[in-house]
Amino acid sequence: MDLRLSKEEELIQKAARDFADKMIVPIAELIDQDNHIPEEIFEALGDLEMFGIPFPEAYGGGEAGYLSYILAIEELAKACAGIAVVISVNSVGLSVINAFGTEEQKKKYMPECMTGKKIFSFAFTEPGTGSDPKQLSCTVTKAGDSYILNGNKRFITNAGFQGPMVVIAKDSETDKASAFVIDKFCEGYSLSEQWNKIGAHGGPLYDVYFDNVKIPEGNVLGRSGEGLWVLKVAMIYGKIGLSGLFLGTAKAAYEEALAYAKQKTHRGQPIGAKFQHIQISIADMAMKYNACRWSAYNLGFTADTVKDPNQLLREAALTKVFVSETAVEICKIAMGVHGSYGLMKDYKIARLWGDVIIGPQVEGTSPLLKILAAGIILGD
Amino acid sequence: MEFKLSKEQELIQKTAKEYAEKAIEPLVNQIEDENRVPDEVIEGLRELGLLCLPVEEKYGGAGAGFEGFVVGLEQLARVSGGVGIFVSVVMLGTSTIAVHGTEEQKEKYLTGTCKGSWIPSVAMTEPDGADPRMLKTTAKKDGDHFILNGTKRFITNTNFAGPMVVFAKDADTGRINGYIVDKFCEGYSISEPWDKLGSKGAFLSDVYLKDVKVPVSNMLGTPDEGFQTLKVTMAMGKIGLSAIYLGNILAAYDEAFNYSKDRIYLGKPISQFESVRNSIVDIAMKYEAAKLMTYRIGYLADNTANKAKLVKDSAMTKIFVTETAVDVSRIAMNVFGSYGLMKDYKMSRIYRDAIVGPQIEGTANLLKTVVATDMYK
Repeated sequence: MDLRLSKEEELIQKAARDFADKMIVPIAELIDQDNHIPEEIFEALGDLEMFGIPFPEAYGGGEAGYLSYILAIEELAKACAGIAVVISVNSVGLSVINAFGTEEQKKKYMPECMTGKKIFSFAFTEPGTGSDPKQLSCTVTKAGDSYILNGNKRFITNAGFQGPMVVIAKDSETDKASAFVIDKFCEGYSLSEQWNKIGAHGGPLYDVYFDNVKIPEGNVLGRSGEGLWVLKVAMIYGKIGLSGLFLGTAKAAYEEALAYAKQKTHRGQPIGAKFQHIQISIADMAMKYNACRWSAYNLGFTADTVKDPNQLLREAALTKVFVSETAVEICKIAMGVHGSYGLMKDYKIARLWGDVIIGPQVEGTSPLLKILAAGIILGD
Repeated sequence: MEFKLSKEQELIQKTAKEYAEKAIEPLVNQIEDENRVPDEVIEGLRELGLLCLPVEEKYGGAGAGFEGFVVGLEQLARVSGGVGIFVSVVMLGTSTIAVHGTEEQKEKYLTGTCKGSWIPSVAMTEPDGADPRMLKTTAKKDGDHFILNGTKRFITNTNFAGPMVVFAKDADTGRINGYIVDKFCEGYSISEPWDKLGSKGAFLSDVYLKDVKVPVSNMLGTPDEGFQTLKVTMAMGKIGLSAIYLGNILAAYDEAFNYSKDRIYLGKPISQFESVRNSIVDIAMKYEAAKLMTYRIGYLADNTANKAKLVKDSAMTKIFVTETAVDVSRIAMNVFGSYGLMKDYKMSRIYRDAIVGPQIEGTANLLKTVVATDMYK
């Protein structure tokens, strides 16, 4: 077992880290305040090939695997959770096109979504459904050689950017779910106001309304009626992204607390040197971060080597739960190192506290994912 | 051992709950955004006796003791963490003056708060920390006055007129004492407010004291009592925080319980799912434990003659309740899922408020060192 990163993985990690330090860190606070990421950042990330890391070179990707993807997401998220959210959800769209798309669909949608100029969305959740596919109320009706899509989707990331969107909807005749690719801002597509969420600002979240959106037959993704397979693959790759993302938040919290413990003095001595409880806090964070890190990296390795979707879903769900819950714990400990100062918006840890709680809630809460994983384990 | 509220305490609980729901709840967003408790709320609290619950009746208070105080504050803080902090700091100022103040000081400042328009503050922490031995603010005796100089950090309610108990070091003797300063006197100025993560509404700023002239008669207690006064203040602050974050727990509990009944998943309310029911039970257990500790510290405060002796028990209660509040918020968040992250849902505010408790007036780890010192002395 060789737990070292390859040269290529190290290079990707370094490229993401350098970019984050130089280009994102200086504006991260502004992104948080304005809830907006400047477009130049996306283009620069596209130039750096950060949007296509795990995808085939034939479609413009880096073909560098999911471990490299997690390494990059970690570094970007450490600087700004919102940017990592955008990339992570874009990758969900790319993953399902890569897995289910026709040659034509891949050629059309994949290269453009690796440039930073077009950004993918994935739309499954609805106001009434949570994440329960049987309750889908978005419907498609066949009309000649097209489908007509109607309904609402909730909490859709990246819905305000130009680019494609994968939509899961129910066929009004067969009652089965199918997946479709549509172009955002086509006729009949509209958006709510942005949801005002507690953290990960810059990663825009909307409800989406479809009013007689016309979808050409060629835009069915995968086989008609097999939309839930598409959903399953999206769930897997979404959780891979989230694992990398909250690993980054955890690291940011750890590094903030570490720097604070060295810099803040009490009677002439840094608190990290003076108080055992600060030393124990530092050790607790280091331990927890290490556990998260190997858990997330292992998920990247698993995604690159394991083909069984059930096994992959189980690993992805459990890793997402572990990393995101532990990230909250790390952030809580980091807060304790900061004391009252940590509550002030002038300190980064205050922003991280809003970011970090997102992990355990999205794409399935921790209890829900544990039950899902247990079902797979018990069914083995 | 009797585990029930008195008739009077039940009335305080009911009055505070009803007032908070009727008069504060509709203004919660405004209180957050403007970072200010509105005048009509202050007046409403004053009229109902909720502003000065533990202050003796002869000074215009409700005379409800600290048991009555924690019961009332829990209900106010359940609706608004900011109002909770505001009321708690009023208690802190009045209690500090009540314990070591002269009859004249009490008559002036307690009555002025309970019946007049004053809102007190207490100023101990400085940019270098809250360790009393590190205080840099000085009081220099000059005839029948003291001259105060220094900077105080993270001080609440500095924007309202009223007394501020300032802890400072005697420039000649090095002893620490409390001095009652009238806010907005000559030489008093404040910074821009700190922008806090949560529990917003109570104005928080730094305070600059530049050659502030305080009559000798405004020193609190005798010169050798200063350290005891400080201990009383530290203990009282933690009693207030315990009640505030007990209210925060109750808010999370109510929100999660109600949401679990309303939210439909797979065709039935999520309260029908075992994992959600277990979460609600976890919250309920934690609330009961936090409540017993908080009500007990109220009881101890009413039945301990030397309030400086409450330091250990108040610190343990504050640690337990505030840490539990964060745990409960996380469990409640999991009941909500993504919706809990949205500002449209009260849960997101409750979560942001909860993290404030463990950080202020000493982090859990720091307070444990204080408790341990007391235990091993």
